[in-house]
Amino acid sequence: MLNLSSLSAGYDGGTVLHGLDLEIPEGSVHAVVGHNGAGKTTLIHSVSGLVPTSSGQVVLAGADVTRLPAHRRARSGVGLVPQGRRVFPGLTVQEHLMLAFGRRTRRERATAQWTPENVKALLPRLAERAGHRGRQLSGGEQQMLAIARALLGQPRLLLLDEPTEGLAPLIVQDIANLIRTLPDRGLTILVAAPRPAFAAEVAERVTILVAGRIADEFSAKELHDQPDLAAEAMGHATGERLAS
Amino acid sequence: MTAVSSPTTIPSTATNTMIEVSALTKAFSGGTLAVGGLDLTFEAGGRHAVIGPNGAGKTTLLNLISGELPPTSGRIRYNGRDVTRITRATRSRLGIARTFQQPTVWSTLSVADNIALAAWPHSDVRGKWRRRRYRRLSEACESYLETAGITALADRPAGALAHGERRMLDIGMALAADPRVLLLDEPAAGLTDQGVERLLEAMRALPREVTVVVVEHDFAFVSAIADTVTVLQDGTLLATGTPAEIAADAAVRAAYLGEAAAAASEFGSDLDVDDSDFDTDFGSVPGSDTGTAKEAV
Amino acid sequence: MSTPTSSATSNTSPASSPASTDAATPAATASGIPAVLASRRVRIGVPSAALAVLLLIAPSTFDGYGISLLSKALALGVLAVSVSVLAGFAGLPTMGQAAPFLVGAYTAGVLGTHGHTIGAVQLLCGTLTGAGFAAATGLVAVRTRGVAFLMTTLALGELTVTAAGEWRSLTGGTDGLYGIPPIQPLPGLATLSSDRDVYWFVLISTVVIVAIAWRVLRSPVGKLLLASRDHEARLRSAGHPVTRYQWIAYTAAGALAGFGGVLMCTVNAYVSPDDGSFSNSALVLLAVVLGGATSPLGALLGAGLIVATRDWLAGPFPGHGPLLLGLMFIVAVYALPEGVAGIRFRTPAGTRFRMPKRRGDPA
Repeated sequence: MLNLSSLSAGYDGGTVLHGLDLEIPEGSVHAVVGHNGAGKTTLIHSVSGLVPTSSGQVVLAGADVTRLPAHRRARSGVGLVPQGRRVFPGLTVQEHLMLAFGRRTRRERATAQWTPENVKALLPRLAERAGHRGRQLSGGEQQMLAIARALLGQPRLLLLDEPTEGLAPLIVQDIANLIRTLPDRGLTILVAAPRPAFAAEVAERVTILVAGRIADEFSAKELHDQPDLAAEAMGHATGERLAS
Repeated sequence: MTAVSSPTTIPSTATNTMIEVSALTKAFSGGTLAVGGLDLTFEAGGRHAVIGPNGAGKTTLLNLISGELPPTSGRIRYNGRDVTRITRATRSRLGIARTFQQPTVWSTLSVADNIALAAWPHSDVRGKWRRRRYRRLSEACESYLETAGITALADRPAGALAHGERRMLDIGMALAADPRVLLLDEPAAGLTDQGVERLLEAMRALPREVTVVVVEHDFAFVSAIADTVTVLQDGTLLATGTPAEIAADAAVRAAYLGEAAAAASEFGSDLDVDDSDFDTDFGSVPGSDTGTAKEAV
Repeated sequence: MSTPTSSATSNTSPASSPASTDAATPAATASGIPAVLASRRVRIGVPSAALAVLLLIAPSTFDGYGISLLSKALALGVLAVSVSVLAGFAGLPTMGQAAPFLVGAYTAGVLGTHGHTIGAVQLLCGTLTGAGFAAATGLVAVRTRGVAFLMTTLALGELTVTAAGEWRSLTGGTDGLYGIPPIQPLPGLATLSSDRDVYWFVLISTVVIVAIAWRVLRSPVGKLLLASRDHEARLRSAGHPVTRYQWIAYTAAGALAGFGGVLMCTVNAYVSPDDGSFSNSALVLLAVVLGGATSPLGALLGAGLIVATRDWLAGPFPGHGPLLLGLMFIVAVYALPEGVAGIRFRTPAGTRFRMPKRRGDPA
């Protein structure tokens, strides 16, 4: 589904990712783990189109989307659940969902896989809070809303940037379970997370990112059997921009 | 609700109570009760954790204590003094510092300036609006940059920081205020395991007189650092006790911890490691030269 | 028009980040301009040098009308700098700075018609009355934010203009004060009798006051204001008395505006309530937007551009001054998307850090 070759990307004046090669097969869940500053968010944003690629290619389902702007990529099936959730404080849950779904043509809506109704069926907590405004939702509910919003974009590839940051352990479990079920609905998933333990729980394969380069890649089973593998790959905070 | 005996349930005639809230209530428009009739005390010098499901009122509690929000009813006492009507700026000057769930910084100023401005009202240097004095203040703040691990970013505009770096800056700013009470709102969120260890180090290095109240979800972290744990749910107190007692509490497990996190903490925290394992010289950055001038997440 | 950004903006425009760090600049910036041209020295130095040259050769090359126009531009420029203190640094866009400007102008006028014709004294008094006026009105204004602040300052401006019109005994009412005698800059110096003499006085005064303002804004004081603009709530949480800072900034801006008003009175030898009109307030806000919100130099250039467009270019097109101004504003804003630092308006949650469109958003 997703193929990154020699991908380098960054912001004005600096390169964050250096020549990344990554392949994510359709219908799988893939995680990227690394410290702050290692490039997880930059990677996610490069795939979604929010960060320009300085060299290399981004290939989505066989099509080269490297030069495609973000909104076109979204139409091609890239969904983004950004870090920090970015829920609109003044809009209700229902309004969020209608906003995310309503901009499609009538025919698209009729044939859409994800609708506000079945998204609410997937996330009952959200259904209960349909009339609540964004600012009245708890962190976990906001996260679910952000995921619901992304699903209503009818994605084929779903990008999640640190989806469990700041969530209660019980909710982390719920989100992890949710992520694991999404491939059954035809989605391919890329998750960025700081903790290898969580990554190994939701994903089949885990890539370790250090200072914008891929340090290693493990299967979930390998990490499960040997939890120290990831920590070793990340090093004792070497390479990260923060001091020691 | 389990009745667990702990120092925090002793009536606050004890002179070492640093923070006390009585019948504290906060209602939002629409009638939602974020916090309802809370009675809590936090002992001076203690490391207190506040946990609970999302929406339990933890951040609201911190906001009420720090003064970001005025209570609907009830009282807040700080070191014996009623501060309920006192503005947050004054409470800050009295010694209460905090970090935020979504770290907010002064984006067009440099990281070093952010720390210096945070330290400004709390330093006794006079005439800091003058350049030379301000420079003295900045130099004194360099150690806070190191503790937060962001010395390399000192001249960067704070707005250009990645999310996790901004979090560390937020912590650095709170520490720079040299507070008597430190309120931390989910400081470990988004940190890697090594990042959490570094955070623990910084917290262990705090002077013992500083009272710390931490809102956190990472129960391993809580077990490693906290003397007492207060569990909130739907704005009221669910349980309070030591980390071990709370982990064993059935009501807490059902409402919040789930079995996995509770189990992890039962077998001892991996984070309880010997201080000597770590190089505490936060200024040295082995192997960080990756050849690029700027990196950002 | 090149982008006039003072070094005060190096912190506020990380969009041009290669140049904002003093470390070695890369060989070329993202837009392909050779780095040496984008370095801070050049970005500030070249427009400043060009401006200095223009201002110095003007008396010998322009005619009397052009010279007096330039003097007016300088006086308005000082007013624009006062607006940039509030709108750019403190994050309080204002529609009423022409009020203390008017107060300063009337101070000079009243002093002049009563025989006190020492320029330095008039400047000092005008600055003090401007400051006093702002200190008093600021107690009300500074309690508001955003649109409410805009409306409050607008209302104060209009009230001042009306009061000036009514108070005939002091101000001469709507007819204004005319026949104000020319001034001597300092005791012992000759009276300023020609447009050129007035120009030099205005130029030197402007340079002095803007240099002082610039120094203060570059000091830690400026940082406090920028922080209150970026995130006021956070500054309060850190323990700073933010309302007090804003009141002081408002008073200082009033002092600056009063200074500018005295200069305007000297140039025109006439003061009327029109000098404090809303259109003046709006024009200088425009000047600040054009020149860069946190750039005193930019404010001056913006004011110059406005006077040039409205009064000079409009010469061949009588009555169409406002149209030309509008067109210029549109062109400037579209042509200089990165050059114009942009006014950051406050939002309830504090201003969002802005980055150029191409950058992804790590925040």
